[in-house]
Amino acid sequence: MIPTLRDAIPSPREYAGSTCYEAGYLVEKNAGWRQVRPVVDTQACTGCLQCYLYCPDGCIRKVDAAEGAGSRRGSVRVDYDFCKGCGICASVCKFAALAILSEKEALRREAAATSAAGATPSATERSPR
Amino acid sequence: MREVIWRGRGGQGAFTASRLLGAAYSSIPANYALAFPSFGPERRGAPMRAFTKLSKAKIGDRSTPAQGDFVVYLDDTLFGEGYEAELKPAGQVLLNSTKAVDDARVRTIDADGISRKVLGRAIPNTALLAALTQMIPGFTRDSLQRAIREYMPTRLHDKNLSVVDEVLRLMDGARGEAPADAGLKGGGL
Amino acid sequence: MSETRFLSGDEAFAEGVRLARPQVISAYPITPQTVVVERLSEMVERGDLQAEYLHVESEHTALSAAIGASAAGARAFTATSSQGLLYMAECLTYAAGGRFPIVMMNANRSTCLPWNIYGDQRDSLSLLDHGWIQAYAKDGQEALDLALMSYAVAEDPRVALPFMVNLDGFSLTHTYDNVEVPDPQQADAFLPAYKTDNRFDFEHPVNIAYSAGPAFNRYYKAREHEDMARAFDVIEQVEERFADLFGRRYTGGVEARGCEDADFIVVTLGTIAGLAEEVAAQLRDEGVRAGVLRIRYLRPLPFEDLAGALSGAKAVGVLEKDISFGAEGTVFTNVNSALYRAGARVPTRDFVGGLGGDDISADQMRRIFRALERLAAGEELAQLTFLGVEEGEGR
Repeated sequence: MIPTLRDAIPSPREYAGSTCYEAGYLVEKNAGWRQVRPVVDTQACTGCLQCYLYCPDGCIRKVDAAEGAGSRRGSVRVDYDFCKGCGICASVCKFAALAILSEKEALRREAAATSAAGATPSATERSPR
Repeated sequence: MREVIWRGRGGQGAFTASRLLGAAYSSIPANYALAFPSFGPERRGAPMRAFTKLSKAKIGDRSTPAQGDFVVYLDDTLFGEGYEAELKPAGQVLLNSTKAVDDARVRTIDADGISRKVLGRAIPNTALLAALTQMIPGFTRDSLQRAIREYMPTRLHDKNLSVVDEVLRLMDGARGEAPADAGLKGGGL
Repeated sequence: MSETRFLSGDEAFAEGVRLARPQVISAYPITPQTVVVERLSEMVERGDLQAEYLHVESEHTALSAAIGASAAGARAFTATSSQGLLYMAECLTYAAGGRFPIVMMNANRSTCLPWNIYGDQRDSLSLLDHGWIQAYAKDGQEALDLALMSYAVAEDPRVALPFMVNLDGFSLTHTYDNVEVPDPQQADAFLPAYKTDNRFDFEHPVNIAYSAGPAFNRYYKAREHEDMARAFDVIEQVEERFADLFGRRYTGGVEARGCEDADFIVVTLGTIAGLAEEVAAQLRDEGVRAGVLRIRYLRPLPFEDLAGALSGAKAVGVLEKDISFGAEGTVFTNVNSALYRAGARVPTRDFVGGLGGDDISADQMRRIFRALERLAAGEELAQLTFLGVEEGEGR
């Protein structure tokens, strides 16, 4: 089960009875902290999962080979809501499967892609404020 | 009391600018100022705020202003929809950008370009500080120079004073049509 | 010549310590105190301050080392905050019981859990009982001045107790303001070198820091208490001398603004008093007789000053940044005790705010005064209110 930010966050009066609580509520998104973002080359990725192990914020997850990866071991995906752009994943990757792209450039490409497709941007693609 | 909110990313010098503004203003007799950063863990590149409060009376309220008489953006990626929520009714924005903004409350200046020209790198804080002092009554050119000399490391004095001079020169010169590459645009001078 | 500088509370305090000429500094860094010890280490490195700077591995060692230094006859300084203060807590009572006039700067910061590094006053207020004088600064100038006055008071043989100077975390430690930094000659004229018999001496060997069982222990504790209570006489004289030399006059246990004819008074500590005074001044313009009493010294407790300032009011609110769980705010307990002793029957209520670094707004301050008005008019008001917690209680 992938923990994601819940839709409804309970009132502190409900949960403040201890400092032990399941994940997915009491966090803040880190997207605004990025000046660069890692982009996965799924063809180069071997599914070794070093990036997943090293990511300090736990925002890299494994995906199956079925999702179009180059390796039968599968690939990885980055959760851009929580990725803060530290670049550790790219520096530990031995297969050059993670490129570091400027955040401004990434947002520009996303905006161009969505206006070309005529779709509205999803939550993870909206400009961070 | 006038409140200035500085919005930048860690490492861009927003807090230094807020501090120099306070130091310059309060160095003039009968003026008072407070300056402080948003408190908490920081990281190069992460969004942060800094604050300067300016008054003719001793300032008792040290709480964080939710809205500013002036909001200064060191980084235009932080400026966008909903920016007015942080602005007082008659407040003004000073934005470090080359983009045109069609809003009478927003003035832009290419602080990156000016600082790159003088310092060799885009460090916009001093340029924005100089521009801001022209928008707030009660500043003298030499109070700003004094603050730079007293509170910046010696090796940075001359270059930062040159940035101040360049901004003030551009603002003195820019009336009506602003030069395409720099100067204060929007809302008139 | 003194000079005016735009400094943070931490930086201002470091300047004060430099002028006080401690001989041994032993401290462990902790947010939001770190700037003080960083500046002091830079001063020692540059030769602007002649002191032994000990890099210790914990706060417990920091205060232990300061006790050792003081026991050798040296003027000692340390600084900490929050969990660090709690870590050295067992040494607090050693220092006080041993009558070592150590000065410690405490950056008031919240205590965990949950984890929080921001300013409130739970750390020092939970440790009032260990024999340390406790003062609370309102701004950078008072912080700097207390760095000097604290040694003068602590080292006076009639007192001979350690002294904790409290600075609000972030709202004072990290906020920049103009302060006048005295010159060293003025400081030396005010604060001479430390002299004491309470120290190791190879010429006249003594026992030091010994034990005292049931037959004798009480005599030490009674003396410690009485000497602490009498410290106000010394504080008054020190403040008199300070005013003569530096031109700034401090007012002992409390600082009263508009309390003489006030109907509604807010009692508080530290920087938040500045906001309380601004709001009280606005209320005065609106015809409400509002006053503010800032407690400067909580230990010793200024019983008479508190009762004197508050007894004539119609309602008193204590605004504090702490809570003694299961009871009430500690400042409230202390203030009530002072009023009760004096036979004063003014209604009092406790307002607990600013916890974990929460800002207190001018609006909230105004609502506190309004609540006191309603209380005086006969309405019910809870004994204790947590600001910003009740449903609908926004900023």
